[in-house]
Amino acid sequence: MGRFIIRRIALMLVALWVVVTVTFFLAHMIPGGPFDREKPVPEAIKKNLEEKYHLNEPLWKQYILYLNDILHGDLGPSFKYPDRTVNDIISESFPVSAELGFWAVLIATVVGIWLGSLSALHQGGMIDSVSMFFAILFISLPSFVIAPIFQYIFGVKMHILPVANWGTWKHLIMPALSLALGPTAVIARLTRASMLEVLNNDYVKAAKARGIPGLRVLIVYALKNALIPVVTYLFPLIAAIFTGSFVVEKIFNIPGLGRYYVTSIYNRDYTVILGVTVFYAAFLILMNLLADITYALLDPRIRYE
Amino acid sequence: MNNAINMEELKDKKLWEPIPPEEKLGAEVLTAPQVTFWGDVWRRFRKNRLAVLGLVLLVIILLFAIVGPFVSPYPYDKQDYDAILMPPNIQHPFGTDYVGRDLFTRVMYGARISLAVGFLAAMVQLVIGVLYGGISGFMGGKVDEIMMRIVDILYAVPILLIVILLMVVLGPGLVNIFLALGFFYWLGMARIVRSQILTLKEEEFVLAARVLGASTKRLLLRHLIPNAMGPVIVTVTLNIPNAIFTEAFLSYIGLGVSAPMASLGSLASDGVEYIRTAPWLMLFPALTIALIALAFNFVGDGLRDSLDPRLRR
Repeated sequence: MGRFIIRRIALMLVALWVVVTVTFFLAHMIPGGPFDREKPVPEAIKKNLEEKYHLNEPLWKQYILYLNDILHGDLGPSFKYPDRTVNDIISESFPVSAELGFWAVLIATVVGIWLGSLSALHQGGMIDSVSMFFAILFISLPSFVIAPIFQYIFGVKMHILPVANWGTWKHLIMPALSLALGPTAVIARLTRASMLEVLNNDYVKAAKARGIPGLRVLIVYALKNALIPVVTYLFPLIAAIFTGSFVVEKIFNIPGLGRYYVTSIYNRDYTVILGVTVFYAAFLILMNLLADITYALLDPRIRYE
Repeated sequence: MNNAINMEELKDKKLWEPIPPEEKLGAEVLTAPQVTFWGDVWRRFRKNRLAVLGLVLLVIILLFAIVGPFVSPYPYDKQDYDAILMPPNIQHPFGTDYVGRDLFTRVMYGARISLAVGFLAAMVQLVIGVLYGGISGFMGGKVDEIMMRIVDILYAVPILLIVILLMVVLGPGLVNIFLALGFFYWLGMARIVRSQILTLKEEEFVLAARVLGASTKRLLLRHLIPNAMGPVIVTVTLNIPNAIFTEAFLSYIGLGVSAPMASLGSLASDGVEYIRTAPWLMLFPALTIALIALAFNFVGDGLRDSLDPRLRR
């Protein structure tokens, strides 16, 4: 078990290093320097700038400096907005993304588990067919399709929710739902499948035979084991919701990290793209690690070789 | 004399013909029609209404995307300033956009790109993923260890982010999307095939083939990989929507195909700005993406249930 976790952590570190290295060298493949603008910068200023950002050093030295900066948690400046660093942008906007993400994850897990268990209990029945049909429908709708449709129906046509922007709980509903629908469907399907498997186990049948009430069997006996795959999915889910938020934040004009990321892609603000990519990558890799560890902790049947 | 055989009777040709099979003793027990594996799969697939619906939908979408552009009277980039932002009507079933281009035609081309991306993703998985996983699982030992560590590391890397970066560096364009996606889309498949091969290679029919002197290549290509095909086909079908979403997402954030070419993602993205005045610009491309994904998901689910009835849920 200990060895398994150490191996996973080692794997995570290597993956992080791959990301950082790939980002660094990809960035240097971009044609043109960061100071090539429509209005050319005077030669002397350009030279000073290059010196300030160590762009005059050989590539390997820049790479070492970059690794060093990242190890110290410094993701560099923004070339488009020289008064702000990538760290500023992240610390300002990530909490907004995190708040949105939290609600989306909450909705997805609660509704998903509830619908999934309900479907499993009524296998083949009306509830089952309807909710599984909607599950497959929502899996087929990317969040950037759901979001504008919501915007149109609830914002433009019905005027019950604000079309965009951020601030009150009313602003939260549509973006959180657009992010949550797909994952809700995935969780419902997962819960249903593993619930059906668990309900067929002898220990559940034995509990029923002993006359334990149905709801208690469901919650105390079945759900605990049925939720293992769901809990493992939770961390990839958080990751998926955060990447989904790139577009959703853009559509709803929410000042989160996702919107900054997409804007910096539009603006080709390379240092911000790189910094935020490394940040997101670290975040997602950490989520993967947590998923692996919880899985190992929860399910003693898996072998860690 | 009474027992004497009537030689004339024996000359009757009919007596010397074999008895037709249905008159043989116990023939009714033996005549169950033979069903091949794929025949059996098809029989189960056909009974699944959603799966058949998905298949029909897929055929319609394919026709729409492949044949459609040849039939359509409008080129995808033809601007018509007399027909700007027209709502859906007889001439323009999906309406027109802000420079009077026919949205129906543009959605057809977009669907073409989506399907091409889906096809590419399927190919990458089938060729690179299956071979990589197959070789890794079959060789075992050190080779397997090294090959799987590489997959583990790449798998831990958030693919979407690297694809975004690659697109930023390579610049927008369909070929670059193909490159960026092709580079990563085989990883999951390699893992699935490897685990399949690991179980299969312990089976007796593989031992038998080996004893008969089958070469490694023959073992892999004739015995192991064909038997691992069930999960492979299901995974490919269910992964195609992901690849299509990724392309649409990249186009949506301006990293996809370049104007005036249109992908469903860039069409939806353009449409969002007109959501108050011309909602059809966003709705039709969005619905088309959803329909394509839905079709593949229905077919994939149906295939999973019919390929392995034990997994039926």
